[in-house]
Amino acid sequence: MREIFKEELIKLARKKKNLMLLTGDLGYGVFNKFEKKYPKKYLNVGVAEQNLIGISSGLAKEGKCVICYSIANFLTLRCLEQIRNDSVYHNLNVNLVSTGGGFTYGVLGMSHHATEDLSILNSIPNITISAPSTNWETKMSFNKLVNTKGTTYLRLEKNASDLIPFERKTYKIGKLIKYRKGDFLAIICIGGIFSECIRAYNNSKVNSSRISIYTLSTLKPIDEIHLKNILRKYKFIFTVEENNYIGGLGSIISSIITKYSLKTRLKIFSTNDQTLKIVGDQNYLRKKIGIDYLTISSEIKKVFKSEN
Amino acid sequence: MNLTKTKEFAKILRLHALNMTSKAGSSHIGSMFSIADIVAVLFNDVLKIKPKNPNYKLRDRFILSKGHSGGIIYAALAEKGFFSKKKLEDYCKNGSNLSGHISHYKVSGVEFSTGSLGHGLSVSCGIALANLRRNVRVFNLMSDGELDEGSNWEAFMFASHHKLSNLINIIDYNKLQSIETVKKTLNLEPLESKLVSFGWKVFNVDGHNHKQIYSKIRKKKIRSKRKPICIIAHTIKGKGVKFMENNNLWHYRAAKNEELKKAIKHICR
Ligand SMILES: Cc1ncc(C[n+]2csc(CCOP(=O)(O)OP(=O)(O)O)c2C)c(N)n1
Repeated sequence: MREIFKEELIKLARKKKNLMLLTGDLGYGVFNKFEKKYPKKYLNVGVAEQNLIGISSGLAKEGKCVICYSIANFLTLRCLEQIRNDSVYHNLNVNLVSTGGGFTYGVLGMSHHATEDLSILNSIPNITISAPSTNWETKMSFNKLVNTKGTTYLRLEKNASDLIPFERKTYKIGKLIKYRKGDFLAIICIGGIFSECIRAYNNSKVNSSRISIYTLSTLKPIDEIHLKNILRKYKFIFTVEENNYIGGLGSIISSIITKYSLKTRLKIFSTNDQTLKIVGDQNYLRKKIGIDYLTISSEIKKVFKSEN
Repeated sequence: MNLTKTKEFAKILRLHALNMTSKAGSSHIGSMFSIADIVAVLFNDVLKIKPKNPNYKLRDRFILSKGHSGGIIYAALAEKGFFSKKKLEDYCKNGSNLSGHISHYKVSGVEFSTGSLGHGLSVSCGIALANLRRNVRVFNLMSDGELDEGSNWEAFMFASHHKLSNLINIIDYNKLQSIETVKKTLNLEPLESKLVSFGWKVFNVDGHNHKQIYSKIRKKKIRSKRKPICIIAHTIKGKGVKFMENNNLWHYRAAKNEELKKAIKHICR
């Protein structure tokens, strides 16, 4: 995902005269090419995230389109009030781009486990949030967000799923993207965890005409009516996110189901309001917290068993 | 202070950190080597701690604010007997409590978990304030790039305002941060006079000279002037292994095969 972001960033800098890239002392080896090509558009403000957002807000206020880059928790939690008051409230074109979403930096410890960023930002009105699942989504989402008015957040992970090569002409904010079609159970996910969902589906060996897989690439804003119309078609919905469900994908889907009194039944896979105190690689931690493909596929099997 | 012993201890710490990061394929070896000598002096000669009674009330508190160098503190704690050295093999492994950034959970002797830069000094201020009338000293060890965070400067003001004379802040001034030099990223100079103007008693030391470090942080010197103390330790990132010194590649890379062998040779020389 980061590679795609890098490429798109350079393309964009060529097109957008007012673009600037600000980093909080992160991205060793990532922005060399960018810095060489556009030295005046690149600035490392140091390990200072509050300052980073404040400076970016000031630049944006004077007409710049700013990209801010750091690791997910530092870019969201450390400077939350600067995001809320300086950037969002003034509707400034500050585009936060984070790496290390979810358990990407699993062995580094809890300070680097980014499992609340989506939820916390989601509770701020008037912000656009995206966590793409594939390289194609990353490319579309990044370009869309930068050209969206106001403040945006793009959460990247190290690896994008290439299990389903997939491209479409359009990418719409707030709508589900359908990756496969079935009629009984819909799996809806956000972010790189998409690859676990595909694997879970493959592993479950359920009749392929019964399972749909969607991503909600943008968590905010959402098109509620569009979502409702899709949700109502299914007897069962699974939501999957590498994030806390409170304020995350699970709670969004749940609130739509309740609001429109849908008959759909919902199962939420998330970090489940837990902080992991152990470390491990991303796959290991996904398993530990129950959002890995084996756990999901065994739940798929259970659903179909109870159906028969 | 027994200089031979401290020197040997620093060597052992470097070897541990090297092997741990190499085995785990994890980052920040340069940042650990940078503080190896400071940590050796602290744990060998300065800190009043009891490995068999880690929560002993009147212990000195040590906080690693540059949490990304946690590996070498785990090594020091294991060597001092807080837990078995065998546990170090779990560093950054699946299911382990020894995370890349220092964590206290189920790790005896770790005073506080960090990993997000710019938290340690404020916490140290709180601990120092709580223990101002007790015979407890608080040592905070931070990096230079970390000083970009404004929180530190809030804490600098707080500490002198409240006369936290039991607080010793050590800055690992290796002049490099994540991408570039400190000078190029966000110049700290004139650092000493900044800190003095914030009301601190400031010493400069060679952060790899055990005797110098010791002379500034041993007990007698502390609590003289009703001022918090800041040690600016001039260090070299990657110190001890020539090809790692002053090279930020080793902020990210772990030594592999031949590199590991060569690095061990450098340290044991
Ligand atoms: C709040 C915060 N922002 C960013 C990071 C990512 N990060 C880890 S180490 C580092 C900088 C390294 O330079 P320095 O602080 O001087 O420490 P050194 O490695 O040189 O000891 C950064 C930016 C972090 N850990 N915390």
